[in-house]
Amino acid sequence: MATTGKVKGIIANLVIVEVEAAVSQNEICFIILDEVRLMAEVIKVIGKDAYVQVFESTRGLKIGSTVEFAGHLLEVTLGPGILSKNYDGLQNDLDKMDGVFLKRGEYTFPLDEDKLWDFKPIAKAGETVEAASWLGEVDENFQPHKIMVPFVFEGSYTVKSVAEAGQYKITDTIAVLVDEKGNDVEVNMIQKWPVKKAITHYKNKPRPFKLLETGVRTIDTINPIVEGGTGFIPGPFGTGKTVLQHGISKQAEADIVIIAACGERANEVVEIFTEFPELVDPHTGRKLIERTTIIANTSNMPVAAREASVYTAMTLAEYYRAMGLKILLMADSTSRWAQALREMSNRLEELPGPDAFPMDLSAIIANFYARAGYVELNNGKTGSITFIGTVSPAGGNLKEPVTESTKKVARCFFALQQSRADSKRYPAINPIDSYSKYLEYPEFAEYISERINDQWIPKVNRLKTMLQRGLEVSEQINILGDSSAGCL
Amino acid sequence: MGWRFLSKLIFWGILQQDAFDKVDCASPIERQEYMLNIVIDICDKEYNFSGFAEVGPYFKKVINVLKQMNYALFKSDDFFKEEKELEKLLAESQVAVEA
Amino acid sequence: MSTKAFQKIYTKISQITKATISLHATGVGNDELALVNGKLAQVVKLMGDEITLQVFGGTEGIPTNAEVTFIGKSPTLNVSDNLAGRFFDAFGNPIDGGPKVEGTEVEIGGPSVNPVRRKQPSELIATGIAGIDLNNTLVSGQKIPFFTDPDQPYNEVMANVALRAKADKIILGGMGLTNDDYLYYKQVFDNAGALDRIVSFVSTTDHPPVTRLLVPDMALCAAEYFAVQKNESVLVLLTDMTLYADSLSIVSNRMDQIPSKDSMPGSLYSDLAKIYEKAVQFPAGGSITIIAVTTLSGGDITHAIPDNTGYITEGQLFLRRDTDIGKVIVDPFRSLSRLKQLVIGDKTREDHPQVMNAAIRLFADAANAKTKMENGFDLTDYDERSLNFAKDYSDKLLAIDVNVGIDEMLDTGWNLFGKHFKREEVSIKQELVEKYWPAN
Repeated sequence: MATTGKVKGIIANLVIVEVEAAVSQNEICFIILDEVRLMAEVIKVIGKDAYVQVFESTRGLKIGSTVEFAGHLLEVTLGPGILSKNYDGLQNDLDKMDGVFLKRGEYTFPLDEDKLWDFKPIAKAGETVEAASWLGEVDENFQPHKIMVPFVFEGSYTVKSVAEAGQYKITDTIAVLVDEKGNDVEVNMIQKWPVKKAITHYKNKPRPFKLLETGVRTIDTINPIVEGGTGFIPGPFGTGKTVLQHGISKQAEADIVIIAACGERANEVVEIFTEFPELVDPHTGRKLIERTTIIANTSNMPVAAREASVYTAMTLAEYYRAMGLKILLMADSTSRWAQALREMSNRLEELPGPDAFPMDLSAIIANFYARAGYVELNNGKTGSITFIGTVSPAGGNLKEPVTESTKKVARCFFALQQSRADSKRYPAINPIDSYSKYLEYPEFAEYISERINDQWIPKVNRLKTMLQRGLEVSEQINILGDSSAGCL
Repeated sequence: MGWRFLSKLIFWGILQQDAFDKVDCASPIERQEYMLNIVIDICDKEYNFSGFAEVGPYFKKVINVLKQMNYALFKSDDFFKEEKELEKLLAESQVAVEA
Repeated sequence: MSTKAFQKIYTKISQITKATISLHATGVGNDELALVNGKLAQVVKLMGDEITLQVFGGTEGIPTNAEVTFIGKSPTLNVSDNLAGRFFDAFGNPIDGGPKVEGTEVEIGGPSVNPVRRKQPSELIATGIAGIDLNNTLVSGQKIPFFTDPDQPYNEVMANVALRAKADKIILGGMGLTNDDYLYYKQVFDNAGALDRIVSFVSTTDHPPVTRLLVPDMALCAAEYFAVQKNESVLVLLTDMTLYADSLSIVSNRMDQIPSKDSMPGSLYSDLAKIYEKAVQFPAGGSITIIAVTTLSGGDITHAIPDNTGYITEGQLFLRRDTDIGKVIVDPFRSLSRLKQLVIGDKTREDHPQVMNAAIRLFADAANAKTKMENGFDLTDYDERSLNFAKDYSDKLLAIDVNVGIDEMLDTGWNLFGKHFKREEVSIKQELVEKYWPAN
């Protein structure tokens, strides 16, 4: 039976609940406020008191209100139909909500229950399968979407039957498996997974080595990123972070692009909604929106859900990676995510670290970036998540905790520079301060030799040296007073 | 002194990219390779100028042609027309190494 | 604020700080309003039956046996067409001697617009000021602040912008406005015969600083009424957001919160974003545009308030005095309108983007020439000409006293190019040069 509790304390969106039975850390609960149910997540437990962060405004909430615990962690619903959707940070389908304004406590199902999908079986009766094994596939916006053995299944199963090719709803049974004890288990196209836990159903995670084309010359030529690589873009406001991110998400040669608009301007998301249905993917000729999913938790949406939004986006990416696809995940801005962590940490009266951020900020950021990567699946196929996050350093100062923590883990650094942006030289990436560690990977060099030629990396390095020298000369001339210098 | 002009050339020929231009916004890797080779070749050439004052205007012209190439569809007539122009420019100011 | 009948009156306050009081009470909701000896207060923390209230008017003189009654709701505003032409304090009480406004009672600080229901802004807002219309064009549904040192005439510029913009309603949110400035706005709107389309919510320096915190939500609540219910285009003026943020830091300090950068609360970004993100183009045609003022300290934009603002707003307009012409200009280098791309050259004449960029580029050349001159280097003929151009450009286009249409601004631009430069020096697309280069 699910645990219940009563509200005992309220400080903004931190609520203290006295619980009557067991609760788990990060368990989801619902606070009953008149007719609405406010979703919340347990973030600390002391004795019988569970501290929960509420994903909504707590206006009007009273002491003594009933709280129902859900018995599971914050999770996403996985299945065909995620592409082209506009979700909030908790994976509510924003298009299914009525009215112009968001209503408190309104939660919508992220997939389409009535839609029929063209299913083709992959697994055959008698085969042995395990979690993440491919049972069949459907066409999702012309992407092969694999229907997998749910990630939560443990041990091995024998396939008893797989549905014939045909049209099915996501709730229809598409396979019957037999577990080790001989029980039949039915599988449909939906599964759930907790967002803060990585989906690690792969054989291994080698160092990434394949160039991921972004179409941006300062990245591809000078400081390339790879399939399954990580990068970050710090820059003061007005240096073109968002234009660059949008550009990369339009042109990159990825199968799927997931954009987490995390605590940023709503009009920027509107730009994606407006443009992507019109723009064509240069690699497939399909509309960009068909390969894109947007997680919109704009700056005016609840702060706790902002924290969840990046995890929601990452989990969706991991789901598609398990299908052997190339995912590009963009998060704008990871600083807003860190600020959400800070707000909660402050309310919990935790001992603060630098700039009042939580002490474990570095570890949280490192764990998150570690979920990206290039993987070899158990069936020998490969998939990847390339992650690029933006950072909005306070006052444009790169010596602040979020930038520094990110620098330790991201392998590419694309430094946007105010002076470049001021003189309208875009993209305002400083080629000298920026770096890509992948240029040092022998695996990458080998791959580039084949894809382009073996002179590529030496040439790029010469180019960088010339840029560096030019910069040094400019600086000298600047000291001597030549006003036409400083133009690099 | 040459470094400053060459780095300017690298900037305008390669780094600078117009996100709002239909062609220039996305540059496939084959195209990037093509342009890198051109730029490296320009940097490797020997030049013979009669005076310092000639250098700036000359590279301005070269940079302008590179910019026009970046705006043209890859390997289109316009693109090759600009490339011809570039070759002409380079031939003009390049002389055999003397002294 | 009226109180309901049969309310429980509490008279035992257990704790008093500079801004808050605590007492034991039950059945109270979070964010609910209360009266403490007649002073308005709001619930900020509930812990069992111990309630902490933030007293807007400050706690001076509040005794431990003060009468506390809970109102049973969070701050509200009565909205109706009768708001037009009226002046209110931060609580929504009339300060113009007029009657209370009848209307639908709405909670201020209401919900956010669903991002998928927004429309992309596309209507140009003309202000007559070339530093804005030509270089940093505003679009309805945009949010943009003036970044300005306190000695610049920002209130005058705001009032001008408001009157010239063809908005159906102008809503003034004044925070920490001096009484003189408040009277200035009132008089300017009155002289322009615009009072019937103005609504004002003002917390002047005579009021306790914490009351400023209510002003933006009041103003935006009224704005939403006109934009959503009446499909009107509404312009909201918020001055001065720096003083609003100062109040946030006062409250968080008194609540013993750990400050982050520049003594500001860690939630500053979210607090500001909640206000600015109310700017929106609604699908039914109404819109809310926010023009704010963020005063700077010595032009420092790295301070937490302008810095966080810059990450939230869609650009900024930077005011500074140009010593060459002795006038205040909109600085073309440090100003930016992120949404101008949606309208320039499309809603305006085809040559707009090129003229704008060319003029700024030439202005930058002049800045270089100036540095050269100041360091004692010889100037070339081009340097001289660019310096002369810069003076003309500042005077005829950048100065905030300019008031002309956009076509005229573009013509002025071409005339200045023709006066000071050769055709090839402005590097504008050939076909535009052919069409617009002044004949002489």
